[in-house]
Amino acid sequence: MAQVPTDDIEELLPWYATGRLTPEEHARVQAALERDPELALRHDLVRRELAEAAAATEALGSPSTRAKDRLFEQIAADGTRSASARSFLGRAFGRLASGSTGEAARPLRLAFAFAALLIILQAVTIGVMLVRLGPSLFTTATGSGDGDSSTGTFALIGFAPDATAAQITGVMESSQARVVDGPRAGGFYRVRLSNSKLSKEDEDRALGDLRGKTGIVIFAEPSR
Amino acid sequence: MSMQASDETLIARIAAGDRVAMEAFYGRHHVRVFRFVVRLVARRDVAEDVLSEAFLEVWRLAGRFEGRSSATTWLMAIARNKALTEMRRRPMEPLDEARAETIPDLGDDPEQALQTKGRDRILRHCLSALSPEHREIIDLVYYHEKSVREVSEIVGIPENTVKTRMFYARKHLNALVTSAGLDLGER
Repeated sequence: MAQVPTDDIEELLPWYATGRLTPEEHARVQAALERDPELALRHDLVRRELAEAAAATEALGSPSTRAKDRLFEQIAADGTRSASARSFLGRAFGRLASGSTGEAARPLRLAFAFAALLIILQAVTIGVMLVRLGPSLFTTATGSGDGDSSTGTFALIGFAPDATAAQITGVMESSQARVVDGPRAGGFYRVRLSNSKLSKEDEDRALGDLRGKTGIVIFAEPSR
Repeated sequence: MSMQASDETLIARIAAGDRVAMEAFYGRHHVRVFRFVVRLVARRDVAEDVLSEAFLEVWRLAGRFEGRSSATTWLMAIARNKALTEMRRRPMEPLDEARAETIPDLGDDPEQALQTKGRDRILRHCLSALSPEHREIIDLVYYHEKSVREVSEIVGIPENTVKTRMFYARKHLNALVTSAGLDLGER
């Protein structure tokens, strides 16, 4: 009869004692314990270790309420930011909804679906931060009911890698810019600065405002 | 009779921004996570900071939980990463009062310590004297009752390494316990 390697079995004893082995491993250990009295003694030692170690950990007590207070304060702060983002998102969807009746409804719904798809693709690409706030930045993009994506004044912008979601949201809201495409190679986004064609002076001013967001916007140039 | 929501259900509700679910999830797990973190960082005040950061991460990333591991395994892995970041941030911090509270002093006479301070305190001392890796695995297996695979997922090491690490952690713990004059066979 083949000898079961007891070294392997002994390594499994802690999990046998906690009942966390697979059924196959459990059966192997049980069989070995029944035929090997020395292994059974080592298993007794494991059970005593387990009881003592668990009791010692229990003795570490509980955290104070400070930890919970701090957590839920931060969650509340997060909620405020999310509410702000949702409000921005709501306005965008509101504009879309107001233009999505009558004859224009079908193409707008398609555009909306396209925009939603774009949101998902963009959010996946640019990471966790924009995954959370991505919709607020992108839902006012293509097919927003403010005219098609070929009309208006556009810019290509890039954000600093360490810009926070709140900062990016702030820039987009203050400039009334809407992402219509991106991220492109290099992480750039095409944004619409205005639904109408701006004068050169107004376009330069809008771009200047974006470039003035140092530490957040690292690139802002006209896009045709 | 009320049915208790599963952890996975709570995580799904948290992902939708349900703070009541977050309260329930926190209430269910915060003590065990705190004890796990205290073992790693050896300071109660730091452990409380790590605890709230870990649960905040759950709040923020709940939508990304895919259920490939259990919610508690996911939570423990987050807490561990936060604790390690904190330990790297203050690697050589001198022992202070807050840390000293978690490491009982046995003094020079283990026999007297045995009589006056009790078995739990001696074992706590021996656990505290283990390396962080050994402390961690003893705690995950014995107290948190994690399987080999779950420990592997939390710690980020192969399953075979989990088994051998636990084997050597036990060996060191027994050597320390014996030298402290405590016989685990006594009760």
